[in-house]
Amino acid sequence: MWALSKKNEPNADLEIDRVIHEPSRLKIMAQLYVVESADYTFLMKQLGFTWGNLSSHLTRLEKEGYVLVEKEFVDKKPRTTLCLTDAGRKAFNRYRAIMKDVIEELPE
Amino acid sequence: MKLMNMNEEIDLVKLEQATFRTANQDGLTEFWMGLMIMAIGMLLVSSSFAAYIALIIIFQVAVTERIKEKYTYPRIGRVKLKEESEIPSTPGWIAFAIIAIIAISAAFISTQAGYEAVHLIAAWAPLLLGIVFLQPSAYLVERSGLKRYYAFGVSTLVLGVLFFLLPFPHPADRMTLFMLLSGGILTLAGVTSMLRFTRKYPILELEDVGVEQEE
Repeated sequence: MWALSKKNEPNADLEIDRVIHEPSRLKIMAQLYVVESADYTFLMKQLGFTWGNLSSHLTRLEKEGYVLVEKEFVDKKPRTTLCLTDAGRKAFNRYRAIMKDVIEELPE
Repeated sequence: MKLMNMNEEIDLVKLEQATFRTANQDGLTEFWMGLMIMAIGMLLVSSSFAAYIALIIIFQVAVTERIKEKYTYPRIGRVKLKEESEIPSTPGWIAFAIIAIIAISAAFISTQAGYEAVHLIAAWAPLLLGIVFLQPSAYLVERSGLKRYYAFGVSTLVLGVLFFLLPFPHPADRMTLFMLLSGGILTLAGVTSMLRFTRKYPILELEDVGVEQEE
């Protein structure tokens, strides 16, 4: 059986990760999953999010350790690069596997 | 590779293809490939074009990055696609093998055989190259999900058949013209893509997207 996970609960590995399960964050995770890295502008355009919306979801994902946010200055211009961490990729793959089982368990 | 969260379905393969399309819609890849093919064609006319080919190889990456910094990244942002597998696919190996066999055979026969043999090689070369160019077309269709990328492969194949059938006074003219036309089509496609791209996507100012600049 599956349930939305809370941290530190027993059998958390078998439960749906609610951080990833949120639709907007799922889109962000999926987009970062298929690339090496991307910046804010690219994610905004691809996903159709506003800056504020994207920023708040990325903050949550960064706090969870799923996304790495690297900020640097190149030719005096700020550049922010985003990519999934190894933990993020593992969590996303785990989420995919669990959701696949969930869908398959649903009655016809 | 589909993913569902009860509300919507996300196809990761289609997502990767859409990402590839977005990242390459500036036309620069087609532009450089076309330029290189034309330069190789001109090499048959004058060996001094070897210098141009060398310049393209040496400076292409740096110049492309400069153009992207000015025109592409401000419009659609920056993305690094996943690294390609270092091991070519089966069609890639076949294409490489065909090119290698043609090149080595042509070089050997042209030094050993008479005019008729060289003429025969020059007659078949455009047709064989037209067939070989189908492979990069197929690769782009697979990565982008757009069947219209077959157009380059099909058009060079048609050109190859045409150049095989048409009479030419000198063998080298056949290959040169074929490479100039094939490369020209690609270069034009690249320039057209870039013009459409710059018109379609205005440059995003950070103020437009609600990001406050720090003084």
